Amino acid sequence: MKKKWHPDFSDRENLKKFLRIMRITFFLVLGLCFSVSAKSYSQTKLFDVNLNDRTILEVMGYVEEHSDFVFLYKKEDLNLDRKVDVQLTGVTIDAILEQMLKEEKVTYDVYDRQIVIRKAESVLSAEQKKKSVTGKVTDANGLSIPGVSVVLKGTTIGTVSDSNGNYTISNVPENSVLQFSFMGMKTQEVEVGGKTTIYVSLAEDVVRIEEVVAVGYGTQKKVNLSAALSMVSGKALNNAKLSNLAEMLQGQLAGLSVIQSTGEPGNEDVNLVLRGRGSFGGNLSPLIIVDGIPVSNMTAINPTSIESVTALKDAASCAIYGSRAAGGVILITTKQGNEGKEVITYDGSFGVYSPTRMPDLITNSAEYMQMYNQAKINRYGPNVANLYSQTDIDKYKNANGDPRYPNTDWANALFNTVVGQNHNINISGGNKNSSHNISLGIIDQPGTMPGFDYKKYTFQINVTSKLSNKVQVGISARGLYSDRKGAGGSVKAPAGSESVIQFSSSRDILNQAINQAPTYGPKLADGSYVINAFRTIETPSGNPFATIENTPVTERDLRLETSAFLKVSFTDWLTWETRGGFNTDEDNMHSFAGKTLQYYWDGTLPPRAQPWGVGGDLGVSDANRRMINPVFYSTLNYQKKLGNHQVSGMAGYQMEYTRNDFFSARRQDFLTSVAQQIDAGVNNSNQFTQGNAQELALMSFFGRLNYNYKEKYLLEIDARADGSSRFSPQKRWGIFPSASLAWRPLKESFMPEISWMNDLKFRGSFGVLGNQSVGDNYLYQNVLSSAQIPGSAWGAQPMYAFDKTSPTQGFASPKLVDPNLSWETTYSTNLGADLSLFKNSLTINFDYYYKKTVNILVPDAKLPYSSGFGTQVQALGSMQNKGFELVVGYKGHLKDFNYGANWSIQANRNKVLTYPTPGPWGMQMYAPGYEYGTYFLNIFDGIRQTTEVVKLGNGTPYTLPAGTMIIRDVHGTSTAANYGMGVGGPDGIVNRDGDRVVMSGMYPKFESGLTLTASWKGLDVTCSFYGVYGVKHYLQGAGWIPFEGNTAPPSTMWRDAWTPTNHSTKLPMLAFGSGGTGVWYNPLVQDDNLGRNSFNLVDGSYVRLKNINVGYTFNFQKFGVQALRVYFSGDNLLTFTKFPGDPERQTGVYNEGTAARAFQSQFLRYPQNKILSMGVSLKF
Amino acid sequence: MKNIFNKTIVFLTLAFGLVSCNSYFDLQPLTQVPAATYFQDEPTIQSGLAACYAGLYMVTNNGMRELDNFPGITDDGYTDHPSWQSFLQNTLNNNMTGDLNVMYSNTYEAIYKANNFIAMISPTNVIDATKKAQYIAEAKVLRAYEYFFITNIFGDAVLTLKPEAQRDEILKFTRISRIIIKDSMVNDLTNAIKILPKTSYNSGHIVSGTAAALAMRYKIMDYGTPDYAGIIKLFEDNFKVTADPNFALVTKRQFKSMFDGNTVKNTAESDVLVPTDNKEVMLSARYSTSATLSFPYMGGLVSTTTCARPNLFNAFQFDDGTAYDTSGANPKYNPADPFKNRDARLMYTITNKSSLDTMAAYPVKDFLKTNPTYYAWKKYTPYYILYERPLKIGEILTQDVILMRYPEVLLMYAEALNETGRLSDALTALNAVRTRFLPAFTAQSKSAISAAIQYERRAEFAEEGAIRYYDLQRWNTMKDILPTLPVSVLNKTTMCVFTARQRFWPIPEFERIANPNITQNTGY
Repeated sequence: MKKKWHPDFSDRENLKKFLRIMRITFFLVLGLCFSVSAKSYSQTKLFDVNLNDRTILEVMGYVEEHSDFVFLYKKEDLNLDRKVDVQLTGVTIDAILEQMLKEEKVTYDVYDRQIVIRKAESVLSAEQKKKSVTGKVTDANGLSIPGVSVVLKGTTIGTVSDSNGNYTISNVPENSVLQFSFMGMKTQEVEVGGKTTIYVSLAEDVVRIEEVVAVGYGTQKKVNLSAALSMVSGKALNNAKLSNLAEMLQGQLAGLSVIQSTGEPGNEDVNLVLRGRGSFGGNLSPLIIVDGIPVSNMTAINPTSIESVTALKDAASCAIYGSRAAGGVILITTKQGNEGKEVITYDGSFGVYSPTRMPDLITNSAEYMQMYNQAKINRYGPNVANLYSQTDIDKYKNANGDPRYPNTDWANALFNTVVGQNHNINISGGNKNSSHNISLGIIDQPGTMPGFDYKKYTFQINVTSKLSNKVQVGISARGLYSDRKGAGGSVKAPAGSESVIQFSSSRDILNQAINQAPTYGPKLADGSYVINAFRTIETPSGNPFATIENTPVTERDLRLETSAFLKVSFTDWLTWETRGGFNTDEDNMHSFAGKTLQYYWDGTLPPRAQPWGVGGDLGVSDANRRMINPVFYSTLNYQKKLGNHQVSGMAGYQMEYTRNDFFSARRQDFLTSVAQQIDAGVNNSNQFTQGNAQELALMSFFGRLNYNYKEKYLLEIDARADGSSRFSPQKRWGIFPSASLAWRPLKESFMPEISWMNDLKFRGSFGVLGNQSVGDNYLYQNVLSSAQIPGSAWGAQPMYAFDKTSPTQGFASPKLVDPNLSWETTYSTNLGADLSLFKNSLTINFDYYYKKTVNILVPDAKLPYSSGFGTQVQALGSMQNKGFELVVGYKGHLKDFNYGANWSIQANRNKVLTYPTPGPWGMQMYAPGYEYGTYFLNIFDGIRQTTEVVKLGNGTPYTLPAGTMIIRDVHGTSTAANYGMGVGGPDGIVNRDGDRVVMSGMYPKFESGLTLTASWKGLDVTCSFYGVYGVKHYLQGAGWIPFEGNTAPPSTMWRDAWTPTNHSTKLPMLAFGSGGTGVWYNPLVQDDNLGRNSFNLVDGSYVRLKNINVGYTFNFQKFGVQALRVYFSGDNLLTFTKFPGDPERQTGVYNEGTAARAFQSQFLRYPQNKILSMGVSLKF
Repeated sequence: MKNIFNKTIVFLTLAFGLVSCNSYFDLQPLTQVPAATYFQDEPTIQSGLAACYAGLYMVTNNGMRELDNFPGITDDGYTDHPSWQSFLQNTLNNNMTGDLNVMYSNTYEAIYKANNFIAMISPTNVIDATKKAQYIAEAKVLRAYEYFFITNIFGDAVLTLKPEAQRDEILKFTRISRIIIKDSMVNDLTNAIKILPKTSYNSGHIVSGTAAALAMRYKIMDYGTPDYAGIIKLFEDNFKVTADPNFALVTKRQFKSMFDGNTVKNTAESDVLVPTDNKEVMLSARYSTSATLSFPYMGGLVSTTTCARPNLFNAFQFDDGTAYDTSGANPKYNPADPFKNRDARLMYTITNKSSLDTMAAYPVKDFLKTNPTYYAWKKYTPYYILYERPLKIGEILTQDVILMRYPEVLLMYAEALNETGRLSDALTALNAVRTRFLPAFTAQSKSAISAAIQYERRAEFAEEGAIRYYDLQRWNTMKDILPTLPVSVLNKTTMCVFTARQRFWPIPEFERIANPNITQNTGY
C-alpha cells in the first residue's frame, strides 16, 4: 500500500518549498515522471468509482490508492467530512473531482499527478478572463527541456513541462506573467497578454549558485572556486560541424590558444597551448583528462557526447595534477545517462567543403611568359638564353580556348568542392538503480584535394549502476576507428629517422602544384601526366596529380579508452572512489610509391616521356605503432559542514604506465603497382625492418584541502608528489604544492546592499608545477646503443668488420648523460576577479598571471665538440610567461526574444630568461630578454630608385641597379657577447650578421573570441568569431617568391612590381636567381644571406567567422519524434585578413622532443575548410 | 553483497601494497643496453670494441676522411669541394661548416668512444686479464690514431683520456700543446706494443706492429724535432728490413690488386690477393661483404673535379729510375703513350685516356675529350668501373680503406737512418720498397738519399689519404709547392695560396662558442 504524504499548506512558503522540492526532484528524475505527461495522465487514467455516502477524505483516499494522484489542500478550505456520493464509470479524474467537490466553494487544478484544491478566491473577479496557455520550452539550441517549472507569477499555480518540453497551464489571467525556471538555466518571465501559445527558450545561466564545475578528481561549486579555470558546455561546442574536437575549442576557452595548421582531413595538426609556451623542447600541450583518466589526445572523443570541457589554468587548479600540468589541464566530462525514459537523439548533417582562401597567382599564360622573360632579363641581362619567344607568347595570347595553349590555374585545379557527412546517435536513459548513455558517431570528410579522405567512427558508452545505497559502480568506454587516406608517401627513410614513411605531405603536393607554370595542363586527353610545355625553359618539378595518384598512403587508427570505477559512500561525508582503466592505440600506416611516366608536350609534338618518377624509390612501407597505457587512481573524499565552516578534503593515489611499440618494414623494387602489399614485391635485399619500444611509469600521491567560511572566505591547498621513471632514483620525486584564496566581499556584513551587483569575488593563487615530458624516457640512464648516433656524420651504424663477411655490431653511448636531470619547474601566480551584475545578466571574469619556468630541459644544449658530442640534454633554460584573460558575458531578453554575447580576450607575453649558448639560429633569436625564437631579420627599407654603389658583406662594393631592395644598415659588426647581434651605429656596410634585428610577430599580441546567441520562439542563431592580432608569418617558397624553382608563378601583386616606368616603393623588380650578388636582384631568395629580411615577414592577423549556426525547432510530434530541429551551420565562412593565404598557421615550430628547429615557412599549406552544413536533430 | 565489496577492498589494498616503488620505476631501455651491465662476456666486449673501430670508417660530407680529399690539397690531386678549396685559397675561417666541423667533431666522437670503452671495461673481470689488457691497448691505439689526426690538422688540442660527462668539467677543457699530446700518445703506444700480439694484421684487430708504426709516425712528424733515434729503435725492436715474418712487402703485380676492390676480375694482369696475403697492410678500415656495413663512393674517385694533378703524373720516374722528361732526350719517353716505360705504380695510381675509352656513356670520358691532359684516379677504383661499366649511383666501396702499410714503416726507418748518418742502412731500407718497381738506388749522399725517400713516399702512397699532406707540412715545402699549382681542374688561372697559418686549420667556431676557453689558431 502506498503511503501518501498529506502536506499541510498553512502558508504560501510551505507550498513554495514543496514546489521547489518537486522541481529538483523532477530535474533529477528527468523525464521519468513526464514520460506520461500531467495532462495525459489525468486524461488517460480512467476510474470506475462506486462510492456512496463517503466523506470527501475517504474519496480522496480511494483515488490516491487507485492511482498516482496526490491531493494537496489546506484543511480549512474545505469540509473534508462532507459526505458525497461518487458513482461514475470510465471517467477521468476531472469528473470525479467535479462530483466530489460540487458542494464546496473551492477550485481545483490538476498538475501532473498532483491535485491542488484551493478556496475559490474572491480576488479573481468574474470579469477576468481566464484561459489556457500552451507552449514549449527549449534551450538555446532548440532542444526541448523537460521538467521546467512554469508558474503564474505571484501565485502558486504552475505546472512543469513534459518530456517534450511542452506545457499547458490553464486558468491563466490575461494580465499575468509566467515564470519559467529550471536548474542551470536562467529564469525567464513572459507576459501573457493576449497570447495562448508561448514558446520560451531558456538560456544557460553562467553564474547560477548551483553551478558545479569539474576540477581535478572531483567537482566543485563554482561559487566556491578560488582557482582560475574556464569552462564550456558540450552544447555550446557542438554548433560547429568539425571533425576534430580540438579545433572546436578555438575561442571557447579563455587562455587556450588553438592553432589548426592545415585543413587536411584527419591530419589537422592542431596545436593547443594554454597560457603560453612554458618549455623549450618539452611537451607544451595541456594534459587532457577525460572522465578522470589522462589520454594522449582528443581524437577518440565524439564532441556530441561531451557534457563540458574545463580548462584548468593556474597552479591552484592544476597542482593536483602536479608534474603533468605545467602546460595546464583540459578536463573533459562526458554525458551520463539519467533516470527516466529512454531518450534517443539523432543529429546528422551534410556539409559542403571548400578551401577557405587560395593564393592569387598569375594564371594567364601569356602574362606569365612575359613576366618570366622580364624576370630573367632583369637578372641576367637582355641576352640571356631560354626566354619564351614572342611567337609562343602570341600563340597563348590568341589561343581562344585552344586546349593546346591553356591557362592552367594549378592551385584551383587541385581543389574540389566535396560533400561530407556527420551522424551521431545518442541513447540515454536509466532507472533508479542504473543509467546509461551510449553514443555513436560517424564522420566522413573527403578532402578538398583529391586523394585525401578521412572517415572516423566513434562510440562512447557510459554506464553507472547503484549496487546499494552506498556503492556505485560504472564503466566508461570510448573508441575510435579512423581510416585516413593521403598521398605523397615516400618509401625511402630519411637518414637517422625512425619513420620510414614520409606522410603529411599535402603541403608538398600543394607546393608542387603552385610550382607549375600555367602553360600546360595536368593531363593529356589520354590521361598521361604533363610536366612541361617548353623543355628548355620550364624546369619540371613533377606533376602533382601524378604524385597524388601514384603514392597513396593510408593510416588506420584504432583507439580505445576505457575505465571502470567504484564509488563507496561510507557516510554522507566520506566517500571513496577508485577508477582504473586503460587506453590503447593501434595505428597502421601503409604507403606505396609507384612510378609513372610524365610527359613533355608543347602542343605540337607527340608527347615525349621524361625520366620522372614519383615518390622516390618504388616500393611499399608499413609502419605500426601500438600504445598501451593503463591508469589507476583511488581517492578518499571528505566533506563536512560545521556551522559556518565548510571543510572538504581529498587524498589520492595514482599509477600510470605507458608502453609504446613501433614496428615498420619496407620493401623496394616492385614490378607492378597493381598489388601494393609487401609480399607483392621482389624478394631481394632491398628490404628493411625497424622496431623499438619505450616504457614510462609514473606514480603519484596527491591531496586537496578546501575550507570556506560562510562562502565568504575561501581557501584551497593542493599538493601532489610525483615519481617518474624518467629520472634517476635520487631525482625521481617532485613535490608540487599550491594554495589559493578567494574573498567575496558582498557577503561581508559591513558591505551595503548593492542591488545591481549580484556577486563579486577576488581570487589569488600561487603554486609550483612540473613537467617531465622532455627528452626520451631514459633520460638519466647511461646506455649503449647499436643505433646510429643522431646527428652524427658517421654514415653508418657503429659496426666493424673484424670478420669481413659478418661484421660485429658495435655498441656505444648515443648520448652524454647527466644523471642529475629532473623536473622542469613552473612557478605560477594568478590574480583574478569575478563580477556578476544586473541580476546575473552581465558577468565579467578577469585573470592576470605570471609564470616562471626554471630548469627547462634543453634537448640540444650545446657542448664543445671536444666532449665527443655536440649536444646534451641539460636543465639550463628559464623563461617567463605573463598575460591576462578577460571574459565578458551578457544575457538578456526582450519578451520572448533572447540574446546573449560572450566576449573573451587574452594576451600572453613570453620572455626567455636564460638560454644555454644564446644566439641566433637561422632567422630566429634564442636569447635572454627576448621572446623565445623571435624573428631575427634584416630590415627591408624600400626600393632603390637609382643605381647605387653599396658596400656589402665584408665591405666589398657592389653596384646595385634601381629596382632592387634596400636593406638598412643598422649596426656595425656582430659580437658573440651581444648574442650575435650587431653593435654600434651604422658602419656603412650592409651585411647579414651585423644588421639583423629582432622583430616581433612570432606570437600573437592578442587573441579574442566572440560568441553571439539569439533565439526567438523556435528560431535560434549562434555566431562565433575568432581573431588573432599581431602575429606575423615569415614566408618563402613557391607562391610567395616569383619563379621559385624556375616555374612558380608570381602572385598577382607582382603586376605592380618595380619597373623603370613604375617606380614602386613596395615591390622590387621581378628577378630570377640566387646566390652571390643575385640576392640583390632578388633579395627574396632564401639563402642564408640578406634575402632573409622583413619583406618576407607578413602580417597574419585575422578575424574569422568561425561558425554560424541557425536552427529552427518545430513543434512537431509525430512518428514518435518528440523534438525536431533543423539547422544550417557554416564554418570558416568569412575571414578578414591581409594575409595572402589561409592565415591560420603555425610559425617557428620547435619540434617536440627533438633538437631540430623546423621552421614552417612555406607559403601555403592545405588550406582550412569552409563548410556549409545542413543538419537535423531529432529526439525520440 | 556486502561480502563482495569487502573482498574487492581487500584486493585493491593488496594491489597497492604489491607494488614496490623501486621495481615499479625500474624501467630499462628496450632498444639500448644499460652501460653499467653490458660488458658481461667476450661477445659484448667485442661489440664495444667494434664501436671504437667504427671510427675508422669516418665519413665527411665529401668522402671518407682518409681517402677522398686530402690528396686534393697537395700537389698530388685536385678537389673542388668548397671547404677544401678554402684551404687551397687560404680562405679557411672559423665560420666554416662542412668537412672542417665534421672532421673535428667526429674525431672527438671517436676519442670519446675509445675513452668510454676503456673506462667501462677496466673494472670488469669477466674475461681473462690478458684479453682485457689487449682490448684496452687496441682502444688506446685507436685513440692515438685519432689524436694524430687532430694534432696534425688542428694543432694544439683538448686532451681527454676519460669519458667526461659532467658539463662543468667539459667546459673547463682547454687546448694543450700538441707535443704533450704526442708524448702521452707515444707512451700509450709504447705500452701497447708490449701488450698486443706480435703477429700480422689479418684478424682486423690492431697488432703490436700497428702500434709501433703509429708511434713512428708520431716521432717523424714536426712535433718539435723528429725523434730519429726513437724511430730507429722502434723499428729495430719490432720489425726486420727484409723477410719480416709479419709484414712482408707484396710483389709488384700484387700491388695493383691491393687497390682493385675485393671483387677481383680474373685477368692475367692481376694477381688475386686474398685478405690474409695482404701482409703489407698494418691498419685499414675493413671492407665487409655484408650490405649492412657499406660506404658509398662519394664521387671523389671518378669525378671530373676530384682527380690527379699533372704534377703527380710528371713526378713518376721512368722505369730505369730517371726523372720523367718530355723533351725526348730520354728514349724512354713515348709521346704516343706517356704511361709507357714508367714506374709501374703510375698506371696503378692514375689512369689515362685510353683505359677510360673502354667505358661507355661515362661523364669522365666526355670530359676527357675536351681535357686531354686530365688524369683520373685509378687507385681504389674497382676494375669493373674501369673496364666494364660506369659507376652507379649509391655504389659502394668494395675494399678496405688502407690506413697504414709496411712500406711506410720501412721508409720512415730509412729516413731516420739517413738523417742520423747511417746512409747504407738507409739505402737498404729504401731499396726494400723501391726495387719492386725500380732499380736499386745507389747514390751515397744524404741529400740524394733524402730525395729518393721523398720520391718513394710520393710514388708509393699517392691517393692514400693524408700521407702526402702530412709530408709536405712536416717538410715545410707547402709554401713552395702550392703557389705554383692551379686551385682546381676547372680554374687553371687562379693559383693556390699558402701562408704560415695554413700549417693548421682553424678551430671550428662552434667549439669556441660552446667553450670560450678554447683558443683559436694563429692567423684565424
